[in-house]
Amino acid sequence: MRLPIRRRHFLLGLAATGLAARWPKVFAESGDEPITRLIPATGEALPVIGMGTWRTFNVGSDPMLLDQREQILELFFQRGGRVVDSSPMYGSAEAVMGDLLGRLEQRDLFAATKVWTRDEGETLEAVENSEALWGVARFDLMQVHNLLGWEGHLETLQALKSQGRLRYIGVTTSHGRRHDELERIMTREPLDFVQLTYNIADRAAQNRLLPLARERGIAVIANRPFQGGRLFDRVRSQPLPAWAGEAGISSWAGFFLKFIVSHPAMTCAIPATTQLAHMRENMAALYGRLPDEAQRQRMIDHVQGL
Amino acid sequence: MFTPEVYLRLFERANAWPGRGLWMVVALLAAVPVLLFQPLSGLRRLVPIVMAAGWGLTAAVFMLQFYAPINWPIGPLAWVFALEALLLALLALRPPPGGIRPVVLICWVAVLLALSWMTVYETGTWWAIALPGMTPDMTAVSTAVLLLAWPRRARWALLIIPLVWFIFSVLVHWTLKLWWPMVVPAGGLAMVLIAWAWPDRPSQESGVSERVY
Repeated sequence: MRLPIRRRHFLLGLAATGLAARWPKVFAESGDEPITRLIPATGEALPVIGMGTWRTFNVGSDPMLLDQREQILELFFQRGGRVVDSSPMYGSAEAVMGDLLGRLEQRDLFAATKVWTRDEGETLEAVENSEALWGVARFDLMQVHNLLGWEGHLETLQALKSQGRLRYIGVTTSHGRRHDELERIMTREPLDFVQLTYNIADRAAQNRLLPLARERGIAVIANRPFQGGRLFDRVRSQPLPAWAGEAGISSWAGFFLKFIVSHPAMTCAIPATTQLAHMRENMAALYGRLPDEAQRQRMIDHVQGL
Repeated sequence: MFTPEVYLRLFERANAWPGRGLWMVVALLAAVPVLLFQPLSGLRRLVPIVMAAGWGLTAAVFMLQFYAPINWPIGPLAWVFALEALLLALLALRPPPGGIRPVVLICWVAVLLALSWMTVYETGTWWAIALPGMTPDMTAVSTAVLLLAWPRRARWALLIIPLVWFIFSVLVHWTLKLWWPMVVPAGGLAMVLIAWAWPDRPSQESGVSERVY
């Protein structure tokens, strides 16, 4: 028996197939898929909200605090987070991360850390030490911390990347320091990532560095997304503006994070927290709509007016 | 750096070490006033030895075991504490201190107790009490106070390490915005300056120990 397929049915079916193929995109608009950005060097997608470990994961061997941080990390992965950023400068944070990663069965980790030593001959030793502390075979991203000895370190990191020992390399700054030098490095060196301070109050990077990152195809990680917590002090007891919902924002944490990751050059922001409730708010910014350019300007005006 | 919560937890963990370690420290602390009031100079010579034990214990337990993993300068500073312990042990070779008036001793103990409670006040738990002989600020403060019983000539060199520690500790507390616990190193800093300027009693200047109560 032949099925009575007519041209109209065929076209309807084709349209339905096309719509189904676009379903994830539609789903993302409604807020159930994490917002991702592509790493320009490879086209790999990364969730736009990551996690920093400065101060928060430096808990030494305290069993109670280790258990608490395990819950934080578990929730981060459960909510779709991948990028975890640390540094040897953060005390025991790398060792703590290694301990906690060993406890968690399900995780999709993009491991990022830094080389932090003046001795440019110690790059390999530093990388291997961090690998041992984290318990990872290789890092996804290795960055030169605060440009410390960057010339020698970058040369070695480049060689390690060529050998397949690292996936991406980059450099970092924070607090808006040494932007001129960072600009020179971004212009001259083959970087995959830069990490810098960018938030709604510290927007110096958007003048030259963020456009340059787009031009050169460099992924950008934003540190200090809450200005070390000072942004929350600024908005304390203030309600969210009524129009925040239009920009897909439901908390002040979401307000600050979505401002950052809605910049077209931005790949990922790395807020840090010790509180589960704060982690939930941070990870909520990974979903839903992002503010457009006009809404971003409105957000700046609103914060400046507080 | 680390959070204030992580820092304050160090006190609770140190007091839980190694189960009954806290009582050992309390016993050492109680021994100091008892020894100071002994008529035999040989027993009073033990006071700097007890103080040295406190510095050693602080370095080995609180600093190296708990604090150093979260704050890298603490590792080297623990060895500086060990050096102070050695210097205090050498102080036992000098003539012991003279007697101390009971009222002075009571005042000292009251001040030290008040300082010990700053971390309790901040955390809300008794387990966070900062004891001399276990926690670095209180060990250094109590040492600076006790050194007043020795002649200036003997005491000034022993105040250098407490001074360095207090400056470091004030900066740490300032960064963490722990204002109440910061009273301890800030008070210690003042105590060191007082101890440097504190004049000798005539009997101390002549190097002869004397009971004055």
